[in-house]
Amino acid sequence: MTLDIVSTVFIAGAAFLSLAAAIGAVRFPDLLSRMHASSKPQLFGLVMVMFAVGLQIQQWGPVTTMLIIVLFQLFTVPVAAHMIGRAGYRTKHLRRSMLYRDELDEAVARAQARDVHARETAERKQAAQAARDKDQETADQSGGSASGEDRTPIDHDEPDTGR
Amino acid sequence: MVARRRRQNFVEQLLYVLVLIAVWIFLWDEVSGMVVISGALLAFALMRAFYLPPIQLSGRLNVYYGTYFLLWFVLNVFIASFQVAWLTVRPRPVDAGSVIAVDLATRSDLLITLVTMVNGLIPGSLVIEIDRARAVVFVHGLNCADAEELERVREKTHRIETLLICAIGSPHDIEALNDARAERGLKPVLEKRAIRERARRARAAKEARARG
Repeated sequence: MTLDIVSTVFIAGAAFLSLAAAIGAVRFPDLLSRMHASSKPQLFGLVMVMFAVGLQIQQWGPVTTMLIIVLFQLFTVPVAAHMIGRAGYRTKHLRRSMLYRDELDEAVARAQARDVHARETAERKQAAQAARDKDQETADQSGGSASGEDRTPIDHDEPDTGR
Repeated sequence: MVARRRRQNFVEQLLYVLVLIAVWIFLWDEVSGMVVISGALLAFALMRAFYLPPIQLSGRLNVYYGTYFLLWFVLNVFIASFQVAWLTVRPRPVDAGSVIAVDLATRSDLLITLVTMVNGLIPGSLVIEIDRARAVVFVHGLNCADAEELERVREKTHRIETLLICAIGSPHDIEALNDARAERGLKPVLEKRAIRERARRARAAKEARARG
């Protein structure tokens, strides 16, 4: 009797959490918020259903199988949520107005600035190299007397990798 | 050194095989010679066929902090699940979220992964990007539109990291964590004899190697 009541409470709680997950997926305004609603309460709801079923059956066989179900959910749900959130952010499927603060955006801007700097450095290096090659050619043609007086020094400027 | 590394590898491989056999037994719901043997064969075949880069286990397990972490985790999932459920059904719509960069002290792949997963399992926070080289995780906090909420998400992520390092982190991770905590003006964790003893032994071994 008590067992039945406990199981009922657990299943009702699980049903509420699953319902909340569904409502959240509809009501929440942007992708990242929806990921919260659709993945996590549902998972805890599933654990509660499994617990209730375990209480009713009381055999080791099904309980161990359910243990595996829960375990694999624990492993896969956060990874799936992470990958969807990551893909959503990277493809810019997000609403800026729904972000109060975005430190990833700042980090990306910093990294891009570094990239641009690195590319400019590489281009400068390449240009210098081309100029030197040209110098060499003219020097070879003119008998190798003037060997590149205005040789541009190689730019060893490392991109800033500090935090 | 090489011999020790090889032995540790062997122990780790054995651990994976045992876990796979356990899963097999759980699936068949019985413990018999047939199931164990077929499970062992399957485990070896799987480990050959789907070779994964070895996980660097620290070789350390603090049972007290491990249990504490598990209880803390379950309690948090429980509370936060209902908090998020309330956010979905309350009349007022949800506020804007935030993406917060959290600096981790550890550089261990395993610990960064675990912090990310635990963060993803606790409702209200979700890691959407990882900077592996610098060990920065970018956490999206749900309904997180003021500085106070922001700090709470950051604090929670640090809490997860601290507990995980206390439970299974290597002595090196503990050192890095304590340095990071000192910077934030917090007390060091796990200043216990066992750890100091281990560090002292490692130093002694290093000196012995340096001498001859």
